[in-house]
This record gives sequence, C-alpha cells and structure tokens, in this order.
Amino acid sequence: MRYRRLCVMSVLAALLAATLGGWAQAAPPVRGGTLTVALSADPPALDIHSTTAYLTEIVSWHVFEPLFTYDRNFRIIPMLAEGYTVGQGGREYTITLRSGVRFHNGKEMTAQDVVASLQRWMKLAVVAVPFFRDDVEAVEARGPRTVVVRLRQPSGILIAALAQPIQLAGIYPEAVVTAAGTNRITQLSELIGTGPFRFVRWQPGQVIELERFEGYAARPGGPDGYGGQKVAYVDRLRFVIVPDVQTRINGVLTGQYDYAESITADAYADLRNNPRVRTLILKPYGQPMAVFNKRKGLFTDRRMRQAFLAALDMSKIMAGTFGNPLMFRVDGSLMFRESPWYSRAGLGPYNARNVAEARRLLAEAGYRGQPVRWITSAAFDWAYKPALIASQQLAEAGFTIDLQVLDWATVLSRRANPDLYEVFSTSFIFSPGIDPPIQPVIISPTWPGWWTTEEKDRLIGRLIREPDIQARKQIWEQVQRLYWEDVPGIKFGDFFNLAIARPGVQGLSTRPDLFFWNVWVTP
Amino acid sequence: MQAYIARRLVTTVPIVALVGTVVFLLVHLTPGDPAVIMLGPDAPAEAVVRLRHDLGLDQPLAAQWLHWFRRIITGDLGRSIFFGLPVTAVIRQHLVPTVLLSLLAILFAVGIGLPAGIVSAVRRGSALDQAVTLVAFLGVSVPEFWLALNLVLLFAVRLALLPVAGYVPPTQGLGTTLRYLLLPAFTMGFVQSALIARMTRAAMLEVVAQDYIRTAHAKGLAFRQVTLRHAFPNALIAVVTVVGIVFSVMMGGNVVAETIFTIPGIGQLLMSSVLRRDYPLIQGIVLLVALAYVLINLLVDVVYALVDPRIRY
Repeated sequence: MRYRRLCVMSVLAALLAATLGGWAQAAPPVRGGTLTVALSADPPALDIHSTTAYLTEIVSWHVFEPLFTYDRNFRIIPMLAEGYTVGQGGREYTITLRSGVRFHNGKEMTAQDVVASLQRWMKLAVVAVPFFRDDVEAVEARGPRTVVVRLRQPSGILIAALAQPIQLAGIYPEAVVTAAGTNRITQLSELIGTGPFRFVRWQPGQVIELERFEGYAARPGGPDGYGGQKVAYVDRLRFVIVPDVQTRINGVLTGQYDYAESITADAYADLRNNPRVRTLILKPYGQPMAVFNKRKGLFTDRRMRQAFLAALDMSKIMAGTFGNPLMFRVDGSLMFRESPWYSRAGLGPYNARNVAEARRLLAEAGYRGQPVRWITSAAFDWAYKPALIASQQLAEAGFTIDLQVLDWATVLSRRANPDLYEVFSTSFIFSPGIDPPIQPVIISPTWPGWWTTEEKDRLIGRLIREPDIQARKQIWEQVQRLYWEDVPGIKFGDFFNLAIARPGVQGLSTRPDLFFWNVWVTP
Repeated sequence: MQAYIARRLVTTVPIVALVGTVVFLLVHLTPGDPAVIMLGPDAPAEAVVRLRHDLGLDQPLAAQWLHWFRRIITGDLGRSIFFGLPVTAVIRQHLVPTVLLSLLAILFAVGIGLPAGIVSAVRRGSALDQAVTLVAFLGVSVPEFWLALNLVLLFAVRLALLPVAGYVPPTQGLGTTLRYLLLPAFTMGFVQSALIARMTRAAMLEVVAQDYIRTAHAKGLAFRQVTLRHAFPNALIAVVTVVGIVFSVMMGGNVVAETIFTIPGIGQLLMSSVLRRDYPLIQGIVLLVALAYVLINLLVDVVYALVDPRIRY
C-alpha cells in the first residue's frame, strides 16, 4: 500500500516537474524545414533600393542588410557597421565596417561595396532625396573597412535614414550596383546581399523562395530587435502570394501555410480561441489620416481645417473602423507611443469633439455648404471606413461631404492635382527609422496637400540640421503643437496589424516589420 | 472549308487590332500612374519623372500607340512595368494554370450539365426534371465566391482531403496538379453546368417534339436509342455554341476562382495588372483573350459542320 502510494507520488512529482519545466523554459531552436509565409500581394520589386513598398521590405531584408538597424527599443545599433564617429562639427561621419562579412557570391564586403551601394541608394531613397542628398559632398572609402560621408551642412538624420527598414540602405556588391545605376535590378542572380538568406526562385504572382546562406557572418551576442545575432534556422523560406484573406486564414488552419499577414481585424474573435492557430497583433502598424488640399479651394483657410477637426469624434471613428479595441488606440501623437519621439505636446484639439465650435468656425470662414470632395478608396479599411464615419459627423456640423470612392491608383494620381479634391485619405505606416522630419505628411511642401508655413519650414530646417538628440526632441514638440493648431491633416489614431501562425512556428516577433530569421518550425 | 478557315483567320487581324487599340486608350486614359505605384506613393518626384521617361510614358499618347502598334506587328508585346520581364514570358507563366483549370472545369461543366439537361428534357415534368431545374437555378444564382469558400471549408478545412489553395505545375506530378485544381475547377464547372443544362434541356425539348422522333418511337426503337442517336445529335448545335462560349469565358481567366484558390492564372494576373496600371501587360492579356475568343468561335463553327452534315461553308 505504502509502495503504491509512493509510486503514485513519484509519478505525480515527475509530471509536475515536467510541467513546470515546460513553463520555465521554451524548447531549444531546431534547424531545418521550410517556413511558408502567405503574403497578401506581390512585392513590386525585390531590389530593396528601388521602392518604398512594405512587401519588398519584408521579403528582401532577409537578403540585404544595412549598416545600422534598430534594437528592441527602436534605438539605432550597428549591423554591418562596427560603429561610427562624427567630426567636423557634424559634417563628417566616419563609419567603420565589420570584417569577415561575405556576400552570397562568396566575396568579402569592402568599403568600396558600401560606397557604391550608398551612392546608388541616395539617388533613389525617399528619405535621402529631399533631406540630405544635396548636402552630401562625398561618400568615399578610406581603406578596406572605413567609409566617410562628408556633408556640406550638419545632418541630424543621416544615421537614422541609413537604419530605416523601408527602402533599406542595403549593401550590394559594387559591380552589381555600378552596372545597374538607378535602374531596377530584376535578375535574381544580381540580387546579392550579405543577409542570412539568399534568393533562389521568383515566380511573379506565385512564390518567392529563399534558402539559408551557409556563409552568413552573424553578429556575436543575442538577437536584439531588428539586429543583433540573426540565425537562419529554416533551410528554406517561401513567400507565397495569396490575395484572398480567407484563403490565407484557411491555409494556416490546415497547415498549408505557416504564417499569414494582413488578416482582417474582425477575424480576431474567431481565431483567438482556435487551437490550430496563433494570433499575433503587430504593434504599432499605422495611422489612418485625412490630408487637406492647402494649395487651392476651401481648405486653404485654416478655420475650415480647424472646424473639420472640431467636428470629429476619433473614438467612434477608430472603433467603427477597426472594431476590436485590441486592434487600435486613440492617440493624437504624430509619432507612435513606442517611438523615442513620442510626445503629448499640443494634443488639446485632438479628439475634442465640439460641434458648436465647428459651426462657429465654419460661419467665421464664410462656408455656405459648398461640396467638400473627399477622395478615398475601398481597397483599404483604414482609408474608406474613417472617411465614411467622419462624413456623418461632419454633416452634423454643417459640412457637405462629397465622398468619392476610387481605386487606390486613382487616389494616388488625383491627390497630386490640387484642382480635383479638398481632402484625401492616406495612412502613415510605422517605421522605426522614421525620424520626424522624414514624415512626408508633416514635412514636405511638395507632398500632396502642400503644407507650407514659414514657422514649419523654419522648425523643420532646424530639426534636420540639429545633431543633439534632446534639442531635436524639443524642436519636434514645437512642430507637433503647430500641426494641431494649423491642421494640415488629421490623424485619426493608431491601428495595428493582425497576423496568424501555425502553433509549431517558434521565435516569432510581433514587431510591425516582419522578419523570419531566428524563427524555427516544429511539426 | 479550308478557304473558309483562312478567310476567318484573316478577319481575326483587324478584330484583334481594334480590341487592342480600344484597350490601349482605355488603360492610358484611366487615372493612375504606374511609376508612382512602382516606386511607392511617397517617391521623390524626380524618381517618378525618371521612371516615366524610362518607360516611355512621357511621350504623347499617339506616339506611344504607334510605338506599341509597331511592336505588336513584329510579335513583341513589350515588357511588363511591374515585373520587368517580357510580357510574353509573364503571360506564358500564367497561361498554363488557366488552360489546365479551364479544361478541367469544362469537363465538370459538360459532365454535369449535359446529362442533366438530357434527362430533364426526356423526363419533362417529372420530379427529376424539377430537381434538375432547381439545381440549375441554384447554379446560376449561387455566387461563385460563396460556393468556393464553402467547398474549401468542407473539403480542405474540415475533411482535410484537398489543399486549401495553390497550384503545382504538372512537371511535379499530374496527380498533385489535379488535387490542387479539383476544387476551383468544380466551382467553375458547377456554376457553368447550370447554363449548359438549361440550354441542353431547351434544345432537346425542341427536338423531341419533332415528327421524326415520334416516328422513331412508333417504329418501336428503344427509348435510349431514340434519345441518344436521333434526338441528341440534332440538339448538339445549341449545346456546342454554349460550351464554346463557356470555354471562351473560362480561358479569359476566372478572377474569383483564381483569387480564392490562389491559382496564378490569367484572370488574377489581369486584375492585379489593372490595379498596378501595368499597361503593356494589360494590353498583352486582352489581346490574348480576344484572340482566344475569336479562335474558339472559329473552332465552334468548324465543329458545327462536323456534327451537322447539312452545314457547309
């Protein structure tokens, strides 16, 4: 009897130990297998210098690597660089490169490759062209492992721009970028990087296949955000193009796909308790926005824009658009809460619905019910639904809204013509490398909507040139205050992206920019 | 017959050229800039201008059309803006899945629609006739995407008998290809079978009311023999016409089935090309579809002569 009790106790103790052990430590990573990721659309290119497309980034940054990237707290850390120093009063950046980094063609990366890559990237990158390209006097190699960037004026955003994932400043072999110039590289055999994976196959509309690069030179230490040690655990990484969202969901449920991105928020409630799938909320992701035409028409008058803002209840707009409270938040800061640039300065007018104030401002501006043409697209919930809900709120305040629902390509085309609209829908997608001045909606007088004020231009000029981070944050807070006073556009809030994965996929991150290094698969 | 076919082939050229020109004008006059879509919405203006120049989009429309027409004559459809590959290569990649899917779907459509239509006609007014009519009515009414999603839920998600979506080329095994194509082909085939069943029933009803059919029955011929040997061949003209139309439509690509089942076919390619404003690819696909329509129609006319000896060209 005592023996039996002892046996039972022993078994229970063993089970308890096993259970606690399971909680205490995750299973160790496993090498091998294939990871199949379902993407919602084809990337427009695999040449990461050539486009700002998010889909290009999340495929190609497994192949190409930047000199700098972001850690878990979205702070800049070296990737292919060892470090950098700033001299000449902020006008000379000396970047030291890591040694022993190899391209997929087996050749070692040198300063010449970096110089050629940066020279090409600076001609193409959205973040470089308007902000510092014209200030770049030279990009030159000083020996095999040192690159010097000389500027005519100090820049506070050079390193941030080199680190941002969208339109990554990836390093290619010199011969490849010299031959390509500013033309898009389409041959897989020329898309050579230093990353943990290399391209194997691209069948447009079907699949992009990558395989582990056995000669990859990982950084020492552990993983850290988008950087640190990257390990390609899976032998093959397949991105399959699956436009239909329900098919992506079903594919993960049946195990045909391991991971699927861009799942609609309304599917979350059904999927959350399904044992065959894991839900991942990628946070932060984007900000839906309405941008005013400030060059021509009704909204050249600031009071009209202020009235528009006063008429809106952001909580209802965001809840109506994204439904599940886990998928959005009501926050007026132009920089996300997760960003070091987050600030609550000047948020008074945001989400302070006051219909009487809106009517007063409209009367003051002399508005008499002229139609307000709002161009949007049903292709994206973040564009169409806020416009629809806001239109009703604006009508209550006395606006006459002419909501024009077009396809996205037409919106992009029309928003460039100030004769065709008063308001357009857009979205600012999160990127950790987005230093405030790089936000086109905030900064660029040439970006659709055309925000030009003397004070804004002066502040942005200071922000671009100022190297001291604390001073820059203070300037940024002034810009944000000005934004909510002048209302060049309206940010409705923050929204998040839903992804799903098979339970057997381990090591996944919930960062907004997807990556599959340090990820392994179990049955 | 040969002279007729040659004549028809010659008339194909102006038809395709006209269709191509209309599409050229339509896509170029639609708002939306492929350079902006390629480079991203926030691309610097100078990069957009450079890409537009590289693509020849800054030329006057007439010059672009002339350039396009000259190339078409030499069989060069240009390069896809989005993929950076020759249009012919991109179309070739997407054509095989569409052809295979269409062939399998037409097999389902004819295999279901033809017997159903014949049985429904010869058993007119019976419960079977009413059942066929009801199913045909459902087939015409049920949205294709709804049928597709429910088939996926049943056969792929619940029973795990078939894959959810995707396409495997025949080079990796015909059996696997068919497994992947079964659900989309059945979806398309079932929807189209309703039309074939209704057309077959109508044509058969017309024929079985003829005097010679009554005579055949009066001679004591077997019911089955009268139906299949005497009535059905005379109803075939209408059936061949509708099968030809259905197959032409399928060959033009099926956006719904190809999207839901992730078949990299012509329908999906055309839709995504329109969204991306990939002018050369849109024009190339439409030319190909127009050509397919004309050739399938020609084939149908030739089949008329084969099934009905009274028809001579």
